[in-house]
Amino acid sequence: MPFVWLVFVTSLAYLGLLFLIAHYADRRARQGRSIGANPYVYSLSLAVYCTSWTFYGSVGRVATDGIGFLPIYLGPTLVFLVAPFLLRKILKIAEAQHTTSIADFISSRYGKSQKLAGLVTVVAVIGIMPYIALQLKAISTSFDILGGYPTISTYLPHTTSVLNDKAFYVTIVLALFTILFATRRLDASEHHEGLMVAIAFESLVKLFAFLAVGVFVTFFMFDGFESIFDRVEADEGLARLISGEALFESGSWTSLMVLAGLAIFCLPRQFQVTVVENTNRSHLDKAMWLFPLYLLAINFFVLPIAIAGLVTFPPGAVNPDTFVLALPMVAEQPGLALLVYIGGLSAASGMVIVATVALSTMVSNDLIVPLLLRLRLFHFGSRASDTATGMLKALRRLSILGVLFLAYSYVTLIGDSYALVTIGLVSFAAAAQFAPLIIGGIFWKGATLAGALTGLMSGFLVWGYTLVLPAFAQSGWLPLSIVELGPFEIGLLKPQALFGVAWENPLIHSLFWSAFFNIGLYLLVSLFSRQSLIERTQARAFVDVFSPKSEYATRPWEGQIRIADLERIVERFVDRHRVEQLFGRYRDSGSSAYSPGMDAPADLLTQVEKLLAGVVGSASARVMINSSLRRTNINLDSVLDIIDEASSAVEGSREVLKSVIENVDQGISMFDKEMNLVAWNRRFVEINGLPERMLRSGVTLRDICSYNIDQGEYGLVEDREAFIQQYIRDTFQPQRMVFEKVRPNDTVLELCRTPLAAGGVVTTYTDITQRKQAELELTRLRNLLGNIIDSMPSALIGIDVAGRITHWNREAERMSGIKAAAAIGETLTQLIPQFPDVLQKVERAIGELAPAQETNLRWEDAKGEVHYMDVTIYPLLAESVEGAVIRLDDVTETVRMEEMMVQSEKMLSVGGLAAGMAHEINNPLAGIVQSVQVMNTRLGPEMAKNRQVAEACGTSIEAIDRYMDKRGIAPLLEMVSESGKRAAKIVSSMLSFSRKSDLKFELRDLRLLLDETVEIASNDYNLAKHYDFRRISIVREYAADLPEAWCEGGQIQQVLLNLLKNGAQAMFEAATNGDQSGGNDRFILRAYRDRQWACVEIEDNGPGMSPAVRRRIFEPFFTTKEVGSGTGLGLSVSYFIITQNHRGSIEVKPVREGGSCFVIRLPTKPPERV
Amino acid sequence: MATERERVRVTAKGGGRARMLVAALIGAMMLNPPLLEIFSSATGSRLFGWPLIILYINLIWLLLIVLVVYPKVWRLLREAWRSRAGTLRKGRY
Repeated sequence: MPFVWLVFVTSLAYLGLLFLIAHYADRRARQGRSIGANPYVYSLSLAVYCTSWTFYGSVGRVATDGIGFLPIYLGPTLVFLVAPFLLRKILKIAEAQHTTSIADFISSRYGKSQKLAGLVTVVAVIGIMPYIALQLKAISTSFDILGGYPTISTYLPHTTSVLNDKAFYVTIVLALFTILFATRRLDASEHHEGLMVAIAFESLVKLFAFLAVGVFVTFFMFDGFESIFDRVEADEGLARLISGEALFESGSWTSLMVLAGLAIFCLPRQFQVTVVENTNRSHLDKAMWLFPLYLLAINFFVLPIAIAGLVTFPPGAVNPDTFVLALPMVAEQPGLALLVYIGGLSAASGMVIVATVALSTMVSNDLIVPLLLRLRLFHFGSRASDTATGMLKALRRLSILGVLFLAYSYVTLIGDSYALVTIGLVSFAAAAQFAPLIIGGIFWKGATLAGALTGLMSGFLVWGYTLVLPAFAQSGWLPLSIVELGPFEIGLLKPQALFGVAWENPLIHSLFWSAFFNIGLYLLVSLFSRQSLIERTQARAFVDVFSPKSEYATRPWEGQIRIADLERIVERFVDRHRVEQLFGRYRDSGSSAYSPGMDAPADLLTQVEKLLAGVVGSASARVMINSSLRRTNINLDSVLDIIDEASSAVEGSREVLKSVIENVDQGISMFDKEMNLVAWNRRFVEINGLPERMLRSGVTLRDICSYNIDQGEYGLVEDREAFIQQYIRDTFQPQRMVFEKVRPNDTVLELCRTPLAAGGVVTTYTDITQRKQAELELTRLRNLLGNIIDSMPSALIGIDVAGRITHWNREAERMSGIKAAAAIGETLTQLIPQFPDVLQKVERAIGELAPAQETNLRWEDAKGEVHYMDVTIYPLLAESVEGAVIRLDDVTETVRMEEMMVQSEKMLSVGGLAAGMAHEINNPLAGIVQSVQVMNTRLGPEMAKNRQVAEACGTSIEAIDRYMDKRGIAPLLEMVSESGKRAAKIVSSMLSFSRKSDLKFELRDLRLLLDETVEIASNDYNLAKHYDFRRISIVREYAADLPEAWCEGGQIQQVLLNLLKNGAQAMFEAATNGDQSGGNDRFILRAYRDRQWACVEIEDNGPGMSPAVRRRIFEPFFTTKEVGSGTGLGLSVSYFIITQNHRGSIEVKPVREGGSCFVIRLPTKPPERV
Repeated sequence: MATERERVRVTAKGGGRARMLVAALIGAMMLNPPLLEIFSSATGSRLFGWPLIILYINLIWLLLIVLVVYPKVWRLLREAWRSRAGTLRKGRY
C-alpha cells in the first residue's frame, strides 16, 4: 500500500477513534456516570490552546525569532496564577447567567444588548476565521508532506481544484464531527462532555507525539541537549536568536506575553472550554497548575527540534514550520513521522472543532436569530414558531457548516499570504479587543453599553487597519502604497506607523493603538454616558456576583404574561423536560402563590429568560420574552423612578441595619447556600477569635472550620475531612437549632442557627459564660441548701400563703410516707388533715408574722402506731416572700421516756415504802397466822391435852367442836388464816420492788422462754378463776434472725406468765359477759429483732383497753378486776422487772381489730454495768 | 451536579489567593526584561549543557507551577500526617 494511503487510512481511523471516544463519553454522561466532569479532562481540554500553531509553528518561529515563541505560553501561565481573581469570577458569572459564548457573556454584562453581541460575534468571526483556516491548511499541508515520504518537499504548490484539495475533505469530516457532538442538545449552556473528552484525548496525543519526536531528535539524532546546543554556539546568528536580545530590546517579548495572557480567556475557543464547558468551578484549582505544566512540557523540546532542523537542513531547503515532521522523515522513521502527523492532526482538529462550536453558537444566537426576530420570521409567541426547536438546531448546524467553509474559503483565497505564526498573532490581537470589556465589566459597575460599543468598535477598526490591511496589501489585494505612504498619501495615517509612530514589530504597533482607542473610548464614553436600568442590574449581577443579594436581583419587565402561556411558549424552544423541571421547581418552592392563570412574577420570568438564554443567548432571550408580554400603561421611566426611590430606601435601611448589627452584643454571621461567609459583625470576630486575613467575602464555612480545627477549638480531630463535612451538615440543618458550646478557654457560647429560605444560614453567638457561672453557683447553693434541709432530723415543710407546699424534706418524706414530688404543690390540708388545729395556727402565724408552737400532738400512723409530735411554725419574714416553714419533730420516744421515768419514780417510791412496811407488817402477820394455827391445833379433838383441859373445864372437846361448828367459828379461823397468808403474799410482792436478789443474767432464747411459759400457763386452769388457758389458741410468729436476749430467765418467765394470765382472764371475762363460749380467743406471740433490741409481743384479741386504762396499767395497785380478784401489782412488778432489772422497755398498744398488745424490748448484749 | 464536597471546595482560599497574586507579580517581573537580559547577555555560559537563559526561564516556569501545587500538596500531607498521628494515639490508648 502506498504510504500516502496509509496516512489517509490512519487519519480516518484516528478521527473514527475520536468519534467513538466522544460517543462513549456522551453515553456515560447520559447514564449519569460521567467521565468528562473531572479536573483532569478539564485541564487537558484547556490545552486546545496548543494548536498546530504550537505543534508546527513554534518550531518555525525559532528560525526567525529564537525564543520568541515562549511568551505565548508564559502569558497564560501567569494568568492562571491569578485565576482565583479573574477566571473564578468569570466562571461564577457565566454559571449564574447561563452563558453560551463570549459574545453572550459580554452582551449580558452590558444590558443584554443585541448590538454588542452582534459586534462581538463579527469581531470574533473575522478575527478567528484566519486561525481556523490556518489549522485546515496545517492538516492538508502535513498530509501532503508525509504523503510524499520518503521525498521531503515542504514547499508545496497551491491546489486549485477543490476536489483535489485535502483541506476540503478535512473540513467536511470536522464539520460532521462538530455537528454530531455539538448540536445534540439545543441548550448551548449545557456541557458537551463527549466533545470535551475527545479534545482532552487529543491533547494527550499531541503532547505524546511532540515529546516522542523531541526525545528522538535530542537523544537519537543527536547526543543529547549539550550536543544540540553546541551547534548554537558555533552559529553566531543562531546564538543571538536564542539569546532573545532582539525581542527584549524591541519590547516584543513583554507585548507577546500580555497578548497571550489576554488571549487565554478572550479567544472564543478558550472561553468555550474554560468557561462554558466548565462543569464545576473547583476544577479550576487543578487546572491552575496542570495546564501550565502541560505548556511547559509541550514546549520543552521546541528549541532542540528547531536547532536540529536548522543544522540538519540547508538554509531554505525545508520550511521551518515543518521541521517537526521533516526530521523523522529524514531520519527514515516513517512510524514516528506518522505519529507526529497524528499529533499535528490532533492539535489542528481540536482547535477547529472547539472554535467552530464557539463561533457557530455566536453566529446562530447573536446574528441570525436577532435578524430573524427583527424580520418577524421568528417570534416567541407566534404560531409559526411551533417548530422553533428544530429550526434552531438547523440554524446551529448551518452556522457550523458556514464557519468551516468560510474558513476553507479563506485558505483557498488567501493561501500562503501569511506564515503560520503571523496568522496566530493576528487572531490573538483581535481576541484581545474583548479584554477591556470583560475585565472592566466584571470589576467596574460604571462601564456602560455605549462605552463598550465604542471601545470595541474602535479597537476592532484599528486592529483591522493596522494589521489586516497591511497583510492584504502585502498579499497584493490592495495597493502597497497604502502601507508605505498612507491612504491618500497622508503620512500620519500609515497603517504601520499611525500618527508617525512606528515600531519595529507591526504587531506591537497594532496592539498599542488598538488598546489605546479601545480602552480610552471605553472609559471615556462610559464616564459620560448613562446606564439603562437593565445595564445597571446586570452590572451589579456581574460585579457583585459573590454577594448574596445578586441571587435575588430581579429586573423589571415591561408587561405581563400568564404563567400557563409562558410555559406553553417556552416549550417551543426548550426541551419539555427542562421546562417542566423549571416550572415544577418554582411551583414547589412555595416562595409565592402559584396558579397557572396568574401573571408570571418577575423572578419566574428571569428564570425563564435564563433557560432561554442557554438556547438563543441572553440578548435574544430578553427580546423574545419582552415581545411576548402584554404591555401595561406604566412607562419605563415611571418604573425607573419607583425603583430608584425604592433603592434609596433599601440603601438607607441597609445602613441602619448594618449599624444595628455592628453594635449588638451578640456575634452574628451569615453564610449563603454555597457556604460563603457573606455577612458578619465585629462581635462575631471577637468571640471566635478570627484573624483579620479571614475576614472577607467569599471565605467559606469550610475555611473557618478548618482554621478552628487548627486552633484546637474542637479538641483533637482525628478525621479532619469527616469532621468538616459533619460540621457543615450540622450548620445547614433545615430546622432552627439552639445549643451551648464550651470553648477550650472555658468560655461558654450559646449558638442559635436559623436556616434561611434562600438556603443560607444565620448564626448568632452569645457569650453566656457569666450567666452559666451564676447558674452553676445558684445550683450549687440550692443543692447545698437542699442537702442541709434534707439532713435535718426534723421534718421541714415550706408552704406558700395559699397553703400549698413548696418544700418537703427527706424527713418529712420518711415521717409521712409521701414523696416530695407528690407533696409539692398540694395543700397542707390534703396531706395532714389530722391536725386541723395546726392548720389554723399556720394561718394565724402567717397572718401575725409570729412563730407558733404545738407540743406533743398525738397521732397514729398507717400501721396504727402512736406517735407524738412537736409542731413549730415559722412565718417567712423576708420581704416579698410569703408563707411559712413548718417544723415537725417526732417526740414519741421522748414522751415515752418521760412516761417511763414517771412510772419508774412511782415504782421506786413503792419499793422504798414496801421495804419499810414489809418488816413491820410481816411480824404481826406471822403472829396472826401462827396464832390461828395454834388455835386450830388446841381446838382439835385429836390432841389428848385438849380433852383433858376441856374435861377439866367441865365440858368435852366434842361439845366445843359442836359449838364451833354451829357457830361457824372454824371457817372464821380458816378465813383469818387465809387472810393472813394473802397479806403475807402482798408484802412479799411489795418486797420485790426493793429486793435485788441474786439474779442470774445470761443470753437466753426468748422463743424457748415463751414456749416454756405457755406450757406453764396451760397447766394453770382454775374454774374458780373462771378461765381455762387450754381453750385459747396460740399463734407463734417468731423471726428466724431473733437474737438472744440478755436477761434473767425466771423473771422474764414471771413477766410473760403474768401477761398471759391477765390476757386470758380478760378474754374469758369478755366472752362470759358477751355470753359467748370464748372459742375464738387467741394469743399471737411474736419475737423479732428491732435494732439493738430483742422484742417480744403478746397480742390478744380480747376487749382491749381504753386509753385511760392504758395510761395507768403499770401503776401499782391499779386493777380493773373485781375487788379481791387481783392485787394490782402484777403488771407493776413486770414493769419493774423489765425496766429496772433488765434496762428494757415494756409498753402496751391497742390492736386495730380489738385487744391489746404488750411489747417488751430486751437488750441483746450485756450492759456495761448491770 | 456538584456534590456537597465538591461545592465546598469551590471558593478559593483567602490566604492562597493573595499568595498566588504575589507569585504572579514576581513571576511576571522575573520572566521579563530587564531581568531576562542579565541571563541573555551571558550567551556563552551554559549549565548542564543548556544556555543559561533557557534554563532560567524553564526553572522559573517550573517554580511558579510548584508554588501553585505546594500548598495543596502540603495540606494533603499535613492532613495525612494528622490522621496517622490520631490513629496511632488511638491505638496506644
